[in-house]
Amino acid sequence: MSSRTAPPTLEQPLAGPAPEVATTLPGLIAGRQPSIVVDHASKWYGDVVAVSDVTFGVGPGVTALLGPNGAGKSTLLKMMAGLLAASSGNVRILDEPARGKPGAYRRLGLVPEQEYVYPFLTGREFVRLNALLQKLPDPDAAAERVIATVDMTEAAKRKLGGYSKGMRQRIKVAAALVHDPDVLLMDEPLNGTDPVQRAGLIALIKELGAAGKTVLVSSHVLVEVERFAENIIVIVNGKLAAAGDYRAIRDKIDAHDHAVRIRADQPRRLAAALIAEPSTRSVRLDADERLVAETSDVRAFYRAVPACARREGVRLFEVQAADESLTSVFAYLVER
Amino acid sequence: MTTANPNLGSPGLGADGTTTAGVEPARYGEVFDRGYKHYEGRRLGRGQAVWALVRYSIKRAMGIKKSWTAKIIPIVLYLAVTVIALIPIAIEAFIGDRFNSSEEILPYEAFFIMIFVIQSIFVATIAPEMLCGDRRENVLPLYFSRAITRLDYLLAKLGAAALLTLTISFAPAFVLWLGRQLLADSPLTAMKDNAGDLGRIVIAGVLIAFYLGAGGLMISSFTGRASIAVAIIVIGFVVLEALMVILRENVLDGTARSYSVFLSPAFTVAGLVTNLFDPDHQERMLDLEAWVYASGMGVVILLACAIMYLRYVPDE
Amino acid sequence: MMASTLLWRPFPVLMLTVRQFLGGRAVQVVTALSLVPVLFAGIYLLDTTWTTPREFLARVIFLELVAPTLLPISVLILATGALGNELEDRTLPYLTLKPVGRLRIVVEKLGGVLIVALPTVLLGLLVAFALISRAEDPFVGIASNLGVDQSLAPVLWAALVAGAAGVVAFAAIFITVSLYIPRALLTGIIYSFVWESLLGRFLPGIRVVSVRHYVQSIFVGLLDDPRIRIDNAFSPSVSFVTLEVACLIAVLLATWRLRRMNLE
Repeated sequence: MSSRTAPPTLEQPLAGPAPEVATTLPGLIAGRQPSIVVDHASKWYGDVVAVSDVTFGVGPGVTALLGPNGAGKSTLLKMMAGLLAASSGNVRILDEPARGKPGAYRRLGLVPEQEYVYPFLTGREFVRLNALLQKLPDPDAAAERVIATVDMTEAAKRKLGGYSKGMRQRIKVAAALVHDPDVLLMDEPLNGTDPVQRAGLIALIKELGAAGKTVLVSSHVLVEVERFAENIIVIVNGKLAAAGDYRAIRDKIDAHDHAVRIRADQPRRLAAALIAEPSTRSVRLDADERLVAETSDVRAFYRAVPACARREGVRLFEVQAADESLTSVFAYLVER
Repeated sequence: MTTANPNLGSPGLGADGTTTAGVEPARYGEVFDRGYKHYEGRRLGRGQAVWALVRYSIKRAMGIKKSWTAKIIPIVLYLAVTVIALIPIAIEAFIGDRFNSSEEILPYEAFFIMIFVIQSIFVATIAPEMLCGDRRENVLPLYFSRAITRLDYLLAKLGAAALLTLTISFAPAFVLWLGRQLLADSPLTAMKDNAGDLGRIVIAGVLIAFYLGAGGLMISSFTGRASIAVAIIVIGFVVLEALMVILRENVLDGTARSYSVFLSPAFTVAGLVTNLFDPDHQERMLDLEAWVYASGMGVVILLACAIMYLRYVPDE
Repeated sequence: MMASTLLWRPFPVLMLTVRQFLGGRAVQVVTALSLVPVLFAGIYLLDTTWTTPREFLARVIFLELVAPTLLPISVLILATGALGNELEDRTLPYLTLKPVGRLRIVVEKLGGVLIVALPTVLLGLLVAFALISRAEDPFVGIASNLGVDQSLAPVLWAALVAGAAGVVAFAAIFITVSLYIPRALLTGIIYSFVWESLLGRFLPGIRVVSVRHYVQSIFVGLLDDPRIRIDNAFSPSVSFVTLEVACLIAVLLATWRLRRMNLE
């Protein structure tokens, strides 16, 4: 599409001679050049701190920005896009400051979290408007291309006001992609999509990453992120909680003690059996006669529970992680 | 918080583990932040729900917990009426003795007429905030799927609008009355003597609050865009008044001429307060009796409520 | 339809703004407002004995109805909505996250407001004039150009020119205000009803910062009729220059604000 030099792609060797500057930014695989640099960035509103002294780098490929609702993900993305000024620190995209330089938007695309789009335009008009504002030489062709990419060719003639959430997400993605940006920021793009649309968007995200684009996708759903990003950046309470390879971070979570709550018809009998298991650290009964077990090896423990139950003839009614909500997983990351 | 490992018995199935035992868990780490918890606390009932909506609506309309730019307009309007109420008290306090002190510098009816512009801008400020945001942000279904019925919703909004408008229709006049009684040689006697004025202030304040509040809400119920509602309210006031004056001066005569005041909210309110506080006035334009103006306002209040009811409560 | 497709390419923000207005309720309200002079003209025709058509149009319609009330409100509704609605709906990033100068966004937004505001505001004036001039003497009225009687034509031209100047000035100023204050329309209404009407009566000095006073000055200056005057009128040229400078400052302030503001 463009004659610009493509940024380094994923296929480049991970090892080998490092480029001129040895980057030691969290989240960046050694030797990679960052497309996005967040440098001690903070953002506060009065007494409320939304983002607190966050530093990381994002290189080409797909990276997920993960964190519970209200963690500061959107604020970070808006700072990267230049919509918000950082209260302190700075944010650079492709070596340019993110704010005050409209020219930089030729290489940057943002899919905002905001669901509302001009209801009086058709999907096609909306994407074309974005193409026109990007001053593309052939806005119509560019618009048709991305509309086809997100599989909206049929619906593009309808008004945006009548779109479902999933359709709106896809047309927003098309609008952000119309100028073929090198850096794409997506704020919760999978929200409101059905499984088929989700699969389509995930495939598109992966494709963009494989093509050497820098794609940063925010999400609060861990399991979703696993499907498209190996590199994650975790934000909790406005602070950087973890950054790096997804599997490595998950292993760290696994190694931590977990509490599991079990409801069974004979909890005491099951407790006696479980305490003999090597993966069990402690077992107690709570006020409701539920069994609460602490384990250091969750995978082994989850295998052991049904085995014990069958051996002892105990009926299991419910097995749930007492602390395994997303929040508590992140709590582990923070304690790391 | 009820996160079940999908490879084990899930709640409700009563699984005994045999179906999955021995099967390697395909993948560990499925975490869902459902964030849903059953509420097990006390339930306060419908009345409390409506009252909560009233309080929330008032906060939103006044810009409480928002930036100063959202609060500035109500504050300026309150300041303006306060100044208008305090100036006559101050003048009467300092120089009242030298003149005939029974003569009021600003009679109540003149006070009400003077602050009417401010009251209507105040209503144009708060009424759209009550309804338009909910329509625009599509939160009405959320309300109506809760303990609050559509009628409760409307009553709460009307209550909130009227309560707020009272703070600028009744409260300033009450301050003026109270100030005058406290200036008297024996305030308690004065209060007893002038209780009639207080009664009239209550009647006028409450009627004006519901009249303006209901009218403003009715207009706001037609659009999701607060600014459009603001515009229609203000235009309504201005254009209707101009229309009334020109019709009166050039076209109408007799009874139609007397009743044409009801076209203009400003003149309707002027008619009410003038005839309420000073029945012997010589104002040619306001030649009906106080109860006629009051009934006219009552009809407008009922009409506005009926229109809103039809808009919000579907015919089933 | 064809023309609108062609116009999208050089002026995308302008066309977006026009579409935004045509798809919303603002245009309906403004059109209804522009018909108010027609309504008043109709009432005047029921009884024309109390004043001459020329004085009725100049004094009642323009100086008392359009200039102080209808024109400011109409333009306020559109101007505060042009960027204000995008802020309220959080769609402004679709415009600002583009390689487009902020000045251009402001100017195109202003252009969009004018394209909708000028015809709607001036249309009512035109129809009211046509109505009254026909009624005065049906034969002369129909014969003269635009349906406007010759003796009323100078009033019409003065009203159109002064009205247009007012539309442009109010539009530029209130686009800017809407970038600074969330309830811009109310602020504008307080400005034009409390500030210009009430305070202007007691403090004549306020006229120096009153758009309405300049609009009325242009009107009476162009009309140059000794019977139709306002107090302390400025000369038309002073008024034009002042309004132009005000527009320029407003556009620059809006551009500066658009560069600096944080968008949620």
